[in-house]
Amino acid sequence: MYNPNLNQFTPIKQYKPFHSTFDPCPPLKRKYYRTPPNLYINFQPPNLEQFPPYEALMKGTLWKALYDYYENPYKERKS
Amino acid sequence: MVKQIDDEYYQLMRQIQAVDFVLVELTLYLDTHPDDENALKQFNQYSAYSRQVKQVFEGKYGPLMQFGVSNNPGPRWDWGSGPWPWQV
Repeated sequence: MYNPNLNQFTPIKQYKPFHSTFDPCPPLKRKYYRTPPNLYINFQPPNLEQFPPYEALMKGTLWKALYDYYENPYKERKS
Repeated sequence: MVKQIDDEYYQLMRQIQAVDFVLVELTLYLDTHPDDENALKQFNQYSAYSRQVKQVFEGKYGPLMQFGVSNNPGPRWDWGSGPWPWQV
């Protein structure tokens, strides 16, 4: 769910690596890095909302606030 | 005789995995929030439930852990013959 408009908060951040003229490889237009929710939570508050057990197992975390969905942003990369 | 692995086996195994994962998460949470009563209460509930599900599982399919850790060796002492965890 990577959305290009940057004013809206998104856990996937991007930057444009510098491409020099002597660079043998094709230029990487955009590189992505992730900022999961735990970077923004200083100390976990008590009584956070939780997933049901099996869904928590599948999602990898018990706390809804800390869940970070991953989708490969490089999938549709042309270069 | 090889234990027949029916879908109840997978159901129970899925329940055990889910409950144990919740216990792991709550343990990590309680490490940093030792005086959080709700989490502690939930942890105790889930650990009791986990023990109960494991009892049911071991009664049918043999022990989950050896050396008496899960003190229910199941119907017969045949942990060596059953299908191995990675084959299931």
